[in-house]
Amino acid sequence: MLYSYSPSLLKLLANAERLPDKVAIIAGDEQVNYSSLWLNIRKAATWLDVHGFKKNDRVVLCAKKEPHYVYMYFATMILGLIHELADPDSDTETLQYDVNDVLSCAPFEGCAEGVQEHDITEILHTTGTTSKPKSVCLSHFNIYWAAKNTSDFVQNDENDVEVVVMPVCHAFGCRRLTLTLLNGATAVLLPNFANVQLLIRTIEKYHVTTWGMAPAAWAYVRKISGTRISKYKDQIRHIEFGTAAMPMAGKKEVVELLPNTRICHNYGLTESNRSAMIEYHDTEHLNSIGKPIADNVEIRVINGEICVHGNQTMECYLDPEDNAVAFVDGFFRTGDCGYISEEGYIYLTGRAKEMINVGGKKVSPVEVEEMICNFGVGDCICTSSPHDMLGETVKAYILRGSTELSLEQIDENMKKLHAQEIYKCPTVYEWIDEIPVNSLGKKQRRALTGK
Amino acid sequence: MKYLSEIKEIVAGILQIPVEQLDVNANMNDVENWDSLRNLVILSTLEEHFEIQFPDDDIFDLTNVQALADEIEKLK
Repeated sequence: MLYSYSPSLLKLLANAERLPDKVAIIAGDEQVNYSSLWLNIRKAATWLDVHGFKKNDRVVLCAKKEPHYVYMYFATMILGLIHELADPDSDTETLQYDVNDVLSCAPFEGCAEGVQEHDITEILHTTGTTSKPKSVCLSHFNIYWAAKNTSDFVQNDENDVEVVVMPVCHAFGCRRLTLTLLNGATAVLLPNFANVQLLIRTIEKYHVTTWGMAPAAWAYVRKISGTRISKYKDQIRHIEFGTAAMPMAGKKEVVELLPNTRICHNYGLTESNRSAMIEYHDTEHLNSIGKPIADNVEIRVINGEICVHGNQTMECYLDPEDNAVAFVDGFFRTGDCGYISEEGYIYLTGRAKEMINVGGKKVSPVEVEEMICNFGVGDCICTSSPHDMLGETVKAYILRGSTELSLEQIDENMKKLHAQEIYKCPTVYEWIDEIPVNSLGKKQRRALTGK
Repeated sequence: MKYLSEIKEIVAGILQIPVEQLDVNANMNDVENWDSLRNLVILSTLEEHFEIQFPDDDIFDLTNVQALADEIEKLK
């Protein structure tokens, strides 16, 4: 059977036959129905084939929220290629193509031979807990189940209209877009959350019923638009939060503003996709991250660490070195500490990760420390610092006597050299007499923040 | 407009684009690099620079440079 290795492609094919005229994607003035979506995916497959791409080749796609990206994303699966998703804001070299060229191709007939369900089709990059982000390899099987498990939990269906605002180069936004299309629902693509007026107009105009967002995006929407969102309390069927924890006050506020909406919060990493979910109306257990998202997902605590196994868990890391400590007894190690209650709810007690969440952007303190040391600072340690607008920013402690630069000069250098990533630049600098380290010599950032 | 060119400089600097490229009437979603994170940086930098505080009810309508300038003019 064609596409038997890819449940995602089978779903799209079925949608094209079942709902040919239904709008699948809206992006600005452009609308694409399910029949055209499938046709254009096949045209993009022909374009890739003509340009010499063969099974298992890697293609770096610029994950722009535009229909042609969606065509390419699924077209790679037809040929058994491996797509790597790049942030449109990054300098990564990506596949270049002329959209008209792609659309003038004849639709591809058939699919690559010998592709298996567990073959790698997607590479996503994590922000990493160290300065080296990891590359996560996901199979056709993984990405389908990541979308299906999420969809089943949040109760998405073909009548939904999703506004896709989160970046689609990361698992969260990518899976929101995929699950919408696999269900035969409609995805409205917006570039970002910046213009909240546009978001609210979009919700109104297209009768949006669902979306996913980070807690930082919610805080931003609330700050910019006040309580305007509650006007749609009977329209919005569900919201999925992810990428970071929501403060308890935030959880209660969302429920107050949208009392009739199913509010789900996922727990997961790029490696393990959504693994657990909590629904905010489950007020008794709001301190937990919920229970495993689906029956095919098992979560265990091994040596105090949360470990996940399931259909959506990655096949492996790209770099074999990263795999050495990634799994225990076949379960992926999340790096988070926690326990499971008698009722089966999972509670986090500490994060092994020390990422700093600057207005929703995850910043690795290790990476910023290396940036600072690169221009003549002997040693430093970075932590988070509370900030009114951004939630958190980076604070840098510079080891006294390890540099001839002043704090002002370090600040200037950082802003000059890393202007494109201004969110990584510390907003506060302080001298420190000694860098706190543990017995293994690892920097103890929490000792400075109490986090 | 007393503060417009000063505001343009600040916004263009944060967005990392040449100031002459910044159309004061262009909607933020049509301006390169103007995402939610940079929008927060713009708002907080302008608040600090002009020693003002944007009222919560007004921020929703601050979707281009001209609107920011009009608002700051009103608050000063």
